This record gives sequence, structure tokens and C-alpha cells, in this order.
Amino acid sequence: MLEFRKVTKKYLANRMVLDNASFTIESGEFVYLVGPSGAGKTTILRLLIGEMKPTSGKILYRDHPIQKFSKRQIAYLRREVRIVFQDFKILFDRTVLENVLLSLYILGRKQSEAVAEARKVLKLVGLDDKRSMFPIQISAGELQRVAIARAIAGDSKVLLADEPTGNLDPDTGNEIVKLLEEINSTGTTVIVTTHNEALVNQAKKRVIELHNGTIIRDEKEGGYRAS
Amino acid sequence: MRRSPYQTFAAILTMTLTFFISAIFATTLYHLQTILTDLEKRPQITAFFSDVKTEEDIRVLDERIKATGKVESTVYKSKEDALVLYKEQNKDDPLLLEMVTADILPASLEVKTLKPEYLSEIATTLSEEPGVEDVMYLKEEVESLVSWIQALRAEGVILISILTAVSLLVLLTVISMKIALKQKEIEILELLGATSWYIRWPFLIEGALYGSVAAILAWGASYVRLLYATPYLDGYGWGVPLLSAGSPTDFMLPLLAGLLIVGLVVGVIGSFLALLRYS
Repeated sequence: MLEFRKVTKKYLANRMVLDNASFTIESGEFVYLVGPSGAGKTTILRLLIGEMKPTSGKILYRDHPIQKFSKRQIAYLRREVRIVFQDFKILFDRTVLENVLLSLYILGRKQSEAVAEARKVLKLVGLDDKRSMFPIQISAGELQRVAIARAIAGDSKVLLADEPTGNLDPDTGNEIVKLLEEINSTGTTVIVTTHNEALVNQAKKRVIELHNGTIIRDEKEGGYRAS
Repeated sequence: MRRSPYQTFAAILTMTLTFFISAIFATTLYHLQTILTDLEKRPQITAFFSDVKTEEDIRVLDERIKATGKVESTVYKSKEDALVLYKEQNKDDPLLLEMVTADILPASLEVKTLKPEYLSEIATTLSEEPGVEDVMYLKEEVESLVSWIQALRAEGVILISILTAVSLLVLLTVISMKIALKQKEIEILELLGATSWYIRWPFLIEGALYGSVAAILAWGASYVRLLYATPYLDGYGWGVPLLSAGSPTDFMLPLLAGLLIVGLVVGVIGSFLALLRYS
């Protein structure tokens, strides 16, 4: 489903952030991208949503090269490959429900249809009873759930989570991971970046470890020890 | 709009002012043009005769000026014709009608020349004729009206262009500010897969809405002003009614359509320029 073929990404002044990275992720997989800060984890996610182009190499989504996508094709890619961030990126002047509805209106859903669909995903993340609340009225863990609900609403096939537990306490972080696993069990491919050892070690999922932009390990049921 | 009411108000107010001034210029030009057209249809030279001049003398004179080849048409008005015309013009004032009979009114010859430049020559010929009491012609009025229309048109084009540019700049600034305020929302929408046009449409519609609202407000204000001013201004229009015989459809509805089209175009262009800079 997703493939990196010898992908290199250099920023200005030739600063290498990803060096000759190659891996394939199949549909329905759950993958952790681990490594210290600056290892290139977030760069991989940003390349996957077409936010930046690789310096060299190919990135394929369903065998189509993302780096050659037009702006419009990138928009359509992002309807299937959705991302959640550590800082949630939630609109604070909209209710929980309205935040989730954003995804569905983009897909052209009618209001009644969109509301029904949004409430379904809010039930899945356990926030249907808080749908009328504003983000200021809910906790950080719940904000991350709203971001996840918004990302999975609609036609998403791949969920990318950039340090989703980074701003949360351990218990709330575990709940978010459980939620991501639950979403993965419905067939959605999930890719999570983290440098949280405990989280990765207890999950027993595929682990791709990066160090200074290079993939140093790719294991089926790997663990992680931060150096 | 409800999140930034002051900017919205500023944009609509500036556009309304622009369209209001445009509407005033358009209305004034239309009125002057109507007067000009009316004056051009009227006899260009009228010679009034004393009682010593018989109808036969006048017919001879008529033939003579027609022979110059510079006259398009002539109409002889007898004393009785003059009385009919006088009665028609003063039908609302019985006192004036009582005091006048055909005897005291002069017979006249109305002359239309082929070209405006023949006016003074024919007028001179007529005034030198014995038995001609007075010669009236509208050359000066028409010429002054034409120069007024030309000056107003030039002035209007310059003023309206400047005001339109100011409106466009205000709208561009307001929409740019709104885009900047919505930067986070735009970023989120882009990440969720919104196309460029999905993001642009609301701003374009907002600009178009400002333009339309401003056009309607300006039209309404100019109509009220026109209704208020009509009784005062009608006296200066050589008898040509300001509101085209009171029918608003003749000018005011096309003016509304024109203002709406300009409002929509200015609104959309202002928003589009703002979007070019920020998206």
C-alpha cells in the first residue's frame, strides 16, 4: 500500500534528514516509527501526505508516485491518508462535533449524513456525549481523541499519528494507543511516530527505527530502547 | 463575518460610498442626457412675428430660407396655434388662461437646421427680416449642456475609478485579514484534503456578498436622494422630468442591475487578489 524506495530528503544547506530510506507498509498494518528527536520520523509522515517532496527516490501510495502528484491529487490523497499531530490542531471556536464535521464536509457529505457519520466516530472514540462541548471544556486526552475522530471520519485508509501521546500523561497515552489499535482492527493502516519506549515495548507491533535519517532496524514485533 | 464585524462594516461602508457617488453621477448624467435629447428634438430656432407680418409674408420668408439648402424643416404656428400651446402649458393655472387671447400672442416660424453650425446664420437672416420681433434659439443651452455632460463624464470616470480602487484596496485588506485570522483553519482543511477551491469559495462569496449589499444600499440611498431632490431639481431641467415622467423602471432598475454587477465583480476581484497573496 505504501512504499518508500531509496528516499532521501535534504533540507536547505544540504542538511540530510532522511538518507536512502526504503520500506513497504501493507494495508491494515500497525507500524511504529521510532527514534530520537531529529531522526526523520516526522519527515516520513510529511512526505507521506505530500507536504514536501523527496530530494531523490520514490514514494508510492497504491503504486502511484506521490512526489509527482498535482496539488489537487495531493488534496485527494489526504482524504485517504490522514494525520494527527501532537498539538492536536483543533479549532477552539468550534464544538467537538463541528471539528469532526470539517472532514466530512470536505468529502461533500450532506449535513444530516455528515452529522450521523461524525457521531458514529465520536462514539468510537468515546466522546459522543461531549459533542456539543468546546475544546476548552475538555481534557488534553479528549482533544487528541477529537483529532483522531476527525482523521478517521470519512474515507480514510491510513492514519498517521505524529507523537500522539507526547503531550499526554502515561495513562491517557495508553488509552490513545488502545484507541489506535482499535481503529487498526477495523482495517485502517496505522503509522505512529514515538520515542516512548514503554508504549512500543508493550505493543509488540512492527517497529521501524531511525537514527540521523537512516533506517537502522525494521522488525515485525520489535521493541525499542531509547539511547 | 460575525467574527469580525468591524472589518465587514468598513468594507461595506467604503463600497457603499463608492457606489452611491457612482449612482449620483450616473443619475445626473442620465438626466442631463435626457434634457439634451429633449432639447435636440425641439425646434432649434423660433422666430416670432409682429402683427404687420401677414401669413403670406411669412410663407415667402419660409420659402426663402428653405432655398438656402441649410434647413431641414420648418413649422408655421399661427396666433391660434400659439394659444392652443399656451393653454396646454398653463392648463393648471386658470388665472393665466383667462387673461390671454390669440390676439396678443405672436405667430411664429419654427426652424430646424440640417447642421448645428447653420444655426447662427439662419438666426441672423431671420432677425434681420422686417416684422420679426424676436428670434430664439437653443444653441447656447445645447452647447453648454454638452460641455457639462462631457466634463461630468470625465470627472465621474476619474472620481469613480479612484473610489473603486480604494474600495478594492479596503476589500483586499479586509479579506487578507480574514484569511490571516483563518490561517489555522485553512492549514487544518488542507491537511484533511480540502482542495484550493474548497478553501477559496467562502472568501469569494464573502467578497461578492459585500459588493452586492453595498450596491443595494447605495442604490436605495441614491433613490431616496433622487425622490427628495426631484421637486427642487425639476425646475432646472427645461421642463424635462427628473424621473423620466415618474417611471423608476426607465433608469433606476437598470441602475440597480448595473450596480449589482459592478458590486459582484469588485467583490470577487478584491477577494481573488487577497487569495492570490495568501494561498
